[in-house]
Amino acid sequence: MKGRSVYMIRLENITKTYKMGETEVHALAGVSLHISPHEFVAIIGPSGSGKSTLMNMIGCLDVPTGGRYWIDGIEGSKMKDNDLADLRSKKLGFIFQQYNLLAKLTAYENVELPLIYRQIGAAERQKLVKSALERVGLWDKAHHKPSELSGGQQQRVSIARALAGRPALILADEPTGALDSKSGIEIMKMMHELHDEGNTIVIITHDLSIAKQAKRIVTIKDGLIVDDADNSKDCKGAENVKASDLHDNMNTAAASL
Amino acid sequence: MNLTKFSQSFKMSMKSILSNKGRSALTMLGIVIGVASVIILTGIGGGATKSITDSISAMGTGRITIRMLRGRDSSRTIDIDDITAYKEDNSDTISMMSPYLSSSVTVKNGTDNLMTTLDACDVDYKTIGSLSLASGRFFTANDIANRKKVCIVGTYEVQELFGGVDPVGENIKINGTIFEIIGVYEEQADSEEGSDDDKITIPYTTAMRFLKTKNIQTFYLYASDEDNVEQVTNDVKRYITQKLGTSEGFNVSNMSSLLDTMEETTGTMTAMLAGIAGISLIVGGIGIMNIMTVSVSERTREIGIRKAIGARTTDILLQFLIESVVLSGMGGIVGIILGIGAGWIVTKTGLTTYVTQYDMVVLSFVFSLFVGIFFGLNPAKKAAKLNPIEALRSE
Repeated sequence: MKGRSVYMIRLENITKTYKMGETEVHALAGVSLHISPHEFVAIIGPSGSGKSTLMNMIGCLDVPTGGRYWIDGIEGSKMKDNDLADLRSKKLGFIFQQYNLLAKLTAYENVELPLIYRQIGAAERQKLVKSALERVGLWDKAHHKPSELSGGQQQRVSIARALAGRPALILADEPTGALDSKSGIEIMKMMHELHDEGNTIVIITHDLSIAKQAKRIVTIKDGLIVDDADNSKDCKGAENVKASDLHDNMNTAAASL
Repeated sequence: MNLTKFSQSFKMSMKSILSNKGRSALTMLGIVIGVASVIILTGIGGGATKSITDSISAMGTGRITIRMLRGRDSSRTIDIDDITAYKEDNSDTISMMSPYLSSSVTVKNGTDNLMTTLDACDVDYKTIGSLSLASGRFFTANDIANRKKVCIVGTYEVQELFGGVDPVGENIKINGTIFEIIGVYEEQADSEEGSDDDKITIPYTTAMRFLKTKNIQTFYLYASDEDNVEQVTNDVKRYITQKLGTSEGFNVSNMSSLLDTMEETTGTMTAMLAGIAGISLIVGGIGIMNIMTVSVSERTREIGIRKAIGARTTDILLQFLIESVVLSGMGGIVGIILGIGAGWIVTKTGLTTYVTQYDMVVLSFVFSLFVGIFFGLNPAKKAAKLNPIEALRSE
């Protein structure tokens, strides 16, 4: 079983349909996507494209209407709530746009929380929290509450939280969306470092400048993957086309709203 | 369930409770009042039981009362000789015996006179009736045998007829007949009219002639062994039934059966009070449920975050359940402190007899925890079932 898991993420013909009154909305209309270990992928698309639904699917927060998905060789598409929670706990590290740190907990406790849910022993936990906070350069702020930290620092705590459990995949949803450009650059630099250290990273964004930093750009539109391009080589021409393409897409989406 | 998760849930509950002190205190208030009132009310009930039990015990638990009911065929009755003979035959189980009769009389000293209760008895009645004298002496066998016109008076009579001066040796007129006062009872109830201090006692032999009574209706026996009183009571019943040829027309009772009846009555009363107080505990539980429901909707986002980073449904359920149990448990502890404190004050000030019922303290605390679980379960389930995607989206 483990031997067959060539892909970190494997989505096969995933569909997700929401009922809104009488009409059915196809948030995902048959998405197949394969992401290998150590990849750095950006998923880009305008709002309403199905990008968030796709993220929820990869993040094991949702179950598809049709199709199947695997995370690190484990099938999540047919799992129940508690098993999905365990899967998230073992395989995934989340980074959110709004940091989503618990306000009442210190940085240390926030980083520790997923490890507690994973039932990791106290000594091991302490080691993991320390190394994660040291990794993001905030060990000296370990006992600060989120409200005592800047936005960039909060996002770094949230990265430490995602990192602490040594996840198979780091999933970042607009990680720089709430940050000023300087902090944003800092966070993206850290994402690159994490990738260089061997982590698999998926960033969901609508910001092309962020997406361009990834090694692979997956464009989603109207619930379908419309483009999947290798960005690791310097191919300016293709990139420009994609950029204009995306702007068109976004304009269409905006107009349809 | 893993201990780390449990202690983490406990820690989170405490954080959440402490970060909202005012609201937590108000939430607990219902439980505090409920537990405190259970403890106070059962304490008062326990006090009532104790004071009744004490006063009955003071009368002597070995006491057996025989009452012949009036209106019976006079040819079939039990007289003093029968009872005396029975007592002699059973001297190993019955230590004392006294006939008893009472009547209403007018007593007079000089020109002062008043109505009072006259009772009449034998020598043993001093012990059977737990009587104690302030001065003088009780009857002797000689007084009884010779139908001496001697009497013992209560402090009300001393106060009203003798101006409070010890009247031992003085004479007093009872229904016009002169009696010598040989003793004065100890004050029992502030020398008030109609109280235990308003009485006069004479030998039963004197009284039978004086009141022209042929048959005595009431006899007191005293069991040598107080633990054996039930057995003696039944023996006496059997003897009289045999003698009369019927089990009707008389009544044999003892203090322990009276005690049982009283304890049953006060027990019922206490249970009722505790039940009423218990209702306030349930109302307190509803208060907890309300606040927990509000708390869950306020913390939807927090729940979403926890779920996204790997909390299972059971982890969330446990966290909120612990929070509501901690709330109700803390309320219970504060209630216990208040309840026991109130009991202490009542006892110190001597307001009423108060006996803290420690079994009720434990019971009300356990009940408050149960209330916390019961009323916390629904909001906790609601929290646990939240969809993480929607929860994360909420503000």
